[in-house]
Amino acid sequence: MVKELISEYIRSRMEKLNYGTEYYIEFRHLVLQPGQHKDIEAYNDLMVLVEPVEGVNIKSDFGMFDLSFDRIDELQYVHQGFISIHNYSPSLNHVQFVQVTPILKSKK
Amino acid sequence: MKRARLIIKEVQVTKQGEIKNFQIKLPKNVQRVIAIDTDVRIDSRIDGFATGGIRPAPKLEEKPMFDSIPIGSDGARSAPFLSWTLQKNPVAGKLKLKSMERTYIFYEEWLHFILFNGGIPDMSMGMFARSPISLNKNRIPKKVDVPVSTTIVNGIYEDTLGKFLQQDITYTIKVFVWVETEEENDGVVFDFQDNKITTEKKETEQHG
Repeated sequence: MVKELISEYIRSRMEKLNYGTEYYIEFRHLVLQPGQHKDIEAYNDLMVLVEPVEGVNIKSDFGMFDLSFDRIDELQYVHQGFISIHNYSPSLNHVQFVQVTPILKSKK
Repeated sequence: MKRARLIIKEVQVTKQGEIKNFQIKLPKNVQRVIAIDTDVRIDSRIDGFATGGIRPAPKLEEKPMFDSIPIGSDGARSAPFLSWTLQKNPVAGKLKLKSMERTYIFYEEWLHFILFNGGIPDMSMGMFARSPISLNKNRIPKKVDVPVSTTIVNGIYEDTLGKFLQQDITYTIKVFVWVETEEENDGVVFDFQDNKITTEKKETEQHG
């Protein structure tokens, strides 16, 4: 996803979801060893993939991102809930996410 | 009560383990999604999963899809002669639906093929042909209540049947989305519609 678009997407998406500006943004840069599998429990956080990565499979309930997978008709850049990340390439890989955490209304 | 309308979306699956993303476009006068129904239509041949008996007896040279009965060294099946055969409805895959203005998935279901007389034991013990008339019940739309202000429902479907059988099976899934629109009711009220107004009216009539 184009980096300028990400900030605009997050802003408008959170506004539409009635969070307004009540959310935190965190940058997550994951370093995955060859064959490494990593799970992220994101719950209601939005995990926005910053740029396409080759050799990595990112899967959640909301879809999948895998440039080599030929049995999917659309790749998902925004994930939520339980996210499973697998680096199946024989080399080290970097995956960058922007994590958007809404502030709970009861905590305000 | 508002008028209910039906939107149908067809998605074809052709490869094993295929993931299909799709969008269901709703009419612009939509107010809420009130019920979801699904159907699966097979386009290529598939056998039912048979367990628990010797009927239908697959030929020995054909490998059965799911064989719970071990075959002895002499080729004979070590199952009792008179036993029932139960045909199961195979799971095709998982469907998820998500409204654009919500973050969560509001509908999730494992879809099944409905085979004729699936789930009914073969009482004839294989001596007579099974009735071609299906004893399956009709499907009933599952009630949901999702107010919508956008006209798109996002869907994702993941095939598990082809993955399990390790072969490409072509089939079409149908998603029936029942929506309530701004139009006034024309007198037709479905079971899954909120009949609050009707009951309120009846109560007033009774008290009045």
